[in-house]
Amino acid sequence: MDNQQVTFKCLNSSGPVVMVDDNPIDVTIARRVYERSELPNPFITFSGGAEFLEYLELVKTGEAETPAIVLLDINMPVMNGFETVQNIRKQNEFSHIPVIIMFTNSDDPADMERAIELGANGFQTKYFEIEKYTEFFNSLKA
Amino acid sequence: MKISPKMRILALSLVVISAGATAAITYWGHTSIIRTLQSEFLRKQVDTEISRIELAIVEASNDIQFIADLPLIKMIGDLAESGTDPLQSQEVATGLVTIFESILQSKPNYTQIRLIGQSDRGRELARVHRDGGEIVAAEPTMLQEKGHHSYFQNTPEDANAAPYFSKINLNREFNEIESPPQPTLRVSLPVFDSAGNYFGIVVINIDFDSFISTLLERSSDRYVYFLTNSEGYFLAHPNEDKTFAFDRGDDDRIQNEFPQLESFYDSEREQITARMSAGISYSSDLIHFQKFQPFTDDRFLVFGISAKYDDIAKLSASVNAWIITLIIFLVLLGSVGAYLLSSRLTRPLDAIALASTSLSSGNDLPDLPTDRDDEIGDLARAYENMNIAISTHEAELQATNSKLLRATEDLEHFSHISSHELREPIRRIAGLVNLLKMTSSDKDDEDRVALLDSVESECTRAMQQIHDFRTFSRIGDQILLREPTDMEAVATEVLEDFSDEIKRRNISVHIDPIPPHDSYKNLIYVLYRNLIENAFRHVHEAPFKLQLSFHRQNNESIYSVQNTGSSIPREHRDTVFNLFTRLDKNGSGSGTGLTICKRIVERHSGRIWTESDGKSVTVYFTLESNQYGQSASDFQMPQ
Repeated sequence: MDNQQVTFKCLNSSGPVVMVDDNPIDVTIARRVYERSELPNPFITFSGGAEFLEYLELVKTGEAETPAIVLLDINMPVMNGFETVQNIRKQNEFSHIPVIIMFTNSDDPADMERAIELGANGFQTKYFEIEKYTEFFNSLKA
Repeated sequence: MKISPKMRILALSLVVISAGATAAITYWGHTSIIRTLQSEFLRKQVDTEISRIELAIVEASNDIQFIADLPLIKMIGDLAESGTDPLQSQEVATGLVTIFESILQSKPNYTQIRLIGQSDRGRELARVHRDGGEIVAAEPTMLQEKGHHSYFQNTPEDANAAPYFSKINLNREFNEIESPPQPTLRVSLPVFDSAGNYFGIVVINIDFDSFISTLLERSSDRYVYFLTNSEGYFLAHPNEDKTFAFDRGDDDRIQNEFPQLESFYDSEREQITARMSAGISYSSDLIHFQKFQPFTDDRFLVFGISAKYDDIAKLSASVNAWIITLIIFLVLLGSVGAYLLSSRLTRPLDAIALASTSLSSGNDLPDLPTDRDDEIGDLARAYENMNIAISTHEAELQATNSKLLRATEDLEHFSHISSHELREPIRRIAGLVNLLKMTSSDKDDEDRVALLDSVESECTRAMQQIHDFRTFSRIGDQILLREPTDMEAVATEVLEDFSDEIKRRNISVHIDPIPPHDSYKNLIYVLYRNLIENAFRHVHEAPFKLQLSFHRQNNESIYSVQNTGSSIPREHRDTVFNLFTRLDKNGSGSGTGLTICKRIVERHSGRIWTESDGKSVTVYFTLESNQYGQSASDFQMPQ
């Protein structure tokens, strides 16, 4: 019942697709897969929630582009995914940015519920199958 | 009810019962003794009085015999025989009168002594009588003819005859009842001259009233004496009007006063003792009447006493009142004593009871009477030892428990590590291998791609194993909600997940109608998935058949998953459900699948078992039927 294909269809701007993950291998795999996908948006990554929030500060001043979608890892040092989504939603101007929580292998319903409560738009378990992962990226397009 | 109040009630009951019994015995015993003593006393009294009357009668008999035997009397007889008036002789007359006078003087109850000749119609020859306080000899002119009187006629003319006693009646002088009336008993004997010829009688008149009263004590407040003749007419009665009333034509008898005596007078009975509820004239408690024959003939007299015991009854009542007061006092004293004693006895028992309650609820033990040297002391010491033992075991248990908790935490930690820290790198390795395969386009390097496939497959297996561990460890403690579950839909959903494999291995699948059941839906999904996966894993031939069925047997819902193409040896049918049991060396399972199934079925309070005929394997399981909601028992099997 896990690993089900979810189609979010929330990518509707030309802004960058943002991935926040502290694990460089996960980031590498994601970037490689993203490059194989049909999405034209730039793909930028951050190694932690704090770094991403700094980026959002630049967005406010117009120095950076508003993200089209945020793919957020949960298990991160310093500021985890739950805290990060909470901080994003605190700021009115980012209340509309789609945030998808990327679980590693957590299928704990409490974690999923909490993510939605804190303002995430959905959650997705990370793939290791490249085909499925690619399909997931493609499915984000609205 | 607890033992303490029971003991108190028992002790109090014993006191009350013993006191009550003592009171009853004392009361009835006391009353009965008094009554027995009363009867005894009356009998003795009557006996004594009768003896006295009889003695007096014997005395009168002796006196009359003495007179009849006087030589002077014989001399008078001789004179009379010779035709001379015997009393013309001054010497004779004076001698006789002197004797009569001296007898009258010595016997105050005698009123007259007479010599009556048979000639001249029974004329008195001599008479000495009392007149007021004086003893006087009657003048010859005052002598009367008494020949017509019964006592004259009835006196036998036999020399050896016993004295004759007349009827006791009022004395008549010149056929008139003397005034004041004088109850009189006459005793007479015939007299004879020296030749033995009868010539008259001697008579002593006894003042019966005075005679009796000198014999008998006067009736007192308590004792009333009665003397009656054989018909019940009063010869002595406390009411003087009634005494000899019959002689004045009155018919008053003792039977009127005491109706109980009616049959006694007519019967042969010698005596009677009767308790009176209430006498007519005297509220007597008890009467005793006795017949006696003081005379030489068959006549009998009846002497009786009526005893009033009002004052004794009062005394007895007051004694009884005292007894009752004493008993009540004793009951109260005994009750208080019994209460205190039983409390004293049961207090240690209460302490023991409290101790057991404290012990069972895990509280501190109260003070126990351990210094006693009886059974309660033994019990108290046993409790203390038990408490020490329990405390020691508890401490050991807590120590073990905390070790266990630490172990569980370690295990959870390990589970977390295995699920996350181990799985993540493997997933990443799988991802990287996948990428590597994608980017590798070199057709010559097939060997390398095959190796990468193997790495990927091992990664997948490792992840599945980790996933199985997690599922297994979570089934026991997950909070789940039972819900109406469409069992058939869940099974179908599982089969859809395996649709690729089913198609690839050409597996023929049949699902029988399976009724809905209240269950943990997610677990049922895992159950079917594991059972189907297990079947697919162990069948190595294609095509084969997979059948999901349901039937009811003995009011039990039995579900089954059957596959052809594999078998389980009989000796392994139970062990297949043990953790890490893998019968198929070539299989890819982790050995947890059926163990998970067993735990899921047990979570539904059901049973799971396998059957195999060498060509196929069937796994059966039951689920607890739920009284709420729709259950399998409501399900109608389609025809």
